[in-house]
Amino acid sequence: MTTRIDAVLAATIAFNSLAQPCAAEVIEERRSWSETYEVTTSNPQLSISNIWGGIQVKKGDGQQIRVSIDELRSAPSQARFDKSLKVLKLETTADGESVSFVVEVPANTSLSLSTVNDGHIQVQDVVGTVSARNVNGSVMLNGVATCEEINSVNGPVRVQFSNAPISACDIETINGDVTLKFPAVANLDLAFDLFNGRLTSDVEVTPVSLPARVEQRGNVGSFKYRIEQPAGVRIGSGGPRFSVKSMNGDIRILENQ
Amino acid sequence: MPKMNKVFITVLFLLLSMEMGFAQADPQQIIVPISRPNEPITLDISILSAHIEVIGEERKDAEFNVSVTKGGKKIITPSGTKVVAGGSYALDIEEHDNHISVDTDWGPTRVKIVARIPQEANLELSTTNDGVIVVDNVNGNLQLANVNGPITGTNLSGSVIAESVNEDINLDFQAFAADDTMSLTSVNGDLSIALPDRAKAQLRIDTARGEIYSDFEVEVEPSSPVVQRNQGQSTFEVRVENVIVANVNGGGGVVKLKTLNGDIQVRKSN
Repeated sequence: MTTRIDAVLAATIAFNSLAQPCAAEVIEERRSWSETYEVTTSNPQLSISNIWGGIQVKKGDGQQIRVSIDELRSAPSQARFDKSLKVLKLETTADGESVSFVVEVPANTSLSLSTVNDGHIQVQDVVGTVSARNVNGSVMLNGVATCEEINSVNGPVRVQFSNAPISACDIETINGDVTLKFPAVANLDLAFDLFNGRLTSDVEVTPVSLPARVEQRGNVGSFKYRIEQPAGVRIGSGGPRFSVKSMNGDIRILENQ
Repeated sequence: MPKMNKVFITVLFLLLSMEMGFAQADPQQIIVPISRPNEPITLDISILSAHIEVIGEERKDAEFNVSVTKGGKKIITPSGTKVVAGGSYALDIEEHDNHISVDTDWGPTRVKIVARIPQEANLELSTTNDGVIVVDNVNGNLQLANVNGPITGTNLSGSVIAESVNEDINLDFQAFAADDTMSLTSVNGDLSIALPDRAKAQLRIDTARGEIYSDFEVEVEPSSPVVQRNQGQSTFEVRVENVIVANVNGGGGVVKLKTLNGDIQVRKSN
């Protein structure tokens, strides 16, 4: 089962409505409710693509995906308010200019989450594979088992693993720090590419030479090659490869207490 | 040299290499096909900090060997700070219509690129910090710029523009045609150019504080300062340039040699 919640259209319409010149009296209506989706597969997936606002996902009870919605509908006139009732079909939290989600999912749900402005991505105790992208906010994953691709431009990334990771993960930021927290028994290779940042570890690591990635594209008339040679450290006896890139952020490796 | 001294120097070098994280990642080799292999290529390498070495050979493709020479990050661990050998870099090589460009992501790592290319090639090579440019056995138009490092060329033919601010330029030509033109300029480095015994050249030499040496007998032309006047709407610029003009074997292709603080040497090729 794949559940996709796309807030792009709704957020844009709401924002356009709000962006009109304010009349003397603003019409507002607030209501809250929740949506529940029964999960019928053993590998549920949840995808949320947001523009303005945060995303919070946590483990829920049973085989359900439960989305809590807190809607604030606002318009500068009654006419525009009535019009918004016809065009705003997606149930979202209209908190001023932003749309925020609080979602409860089965623990083994795979997540694909993204937002851009004024929002943080938080995931709690979900052991399915997590991918998350944020531009101006943080990505905080606690008690996760597997990540695939984590990306942030300006916010920090923090990933705390409930178990020793068993698969590779790519993490990239421009300005945000990256904090990775592993159990004491973790074995993995960390390939990093830092420009200005520092690398610190509370865990003993061994510097190691990791193989470069060589990518080839093109055909007759135009050939392109890219070589990426990371610096590397090994945690424990080595294992899945975590690739961490940052222009200005630091990398910290911590151990679960 | 006493044996003990050799051992000591070797051990010291190894220790220094380990400390500085020299080249511990495996070198990467890329073979790049050429769109029109029977025609000259253009190779463009512009990297902030790099050892760039280009070697011309009888071949129809281009081979690049890339490795890290400096830039290992440090990691702070419970048992102390460790150097992570190998540094890190990302390098792109692109060939399109016989034009090969090499570029890297912005980064602190110094890379070494050894390019083996067809002998008929035009080169545009530049680096800025802690860099080296070496060219061997290439025939074409060469533009070589290294701000803080040396430029060395051997077995060259064609026209060359070479610029360095703080280091020496040393170019050795195996052929020099009458229509070839050269320009070697540096601020603080020495300039050395070697020409074939029978090369016909007109040297235009300008050094403020350095000495001038020549293996060739030269005929110095009487010269007077060249005055250029440029008048704008609200500015008036006068440029006075006084160079020594000396002909080798009766004169021919123009070789401009200009440095502020370095010496100038014109040699005969071996």
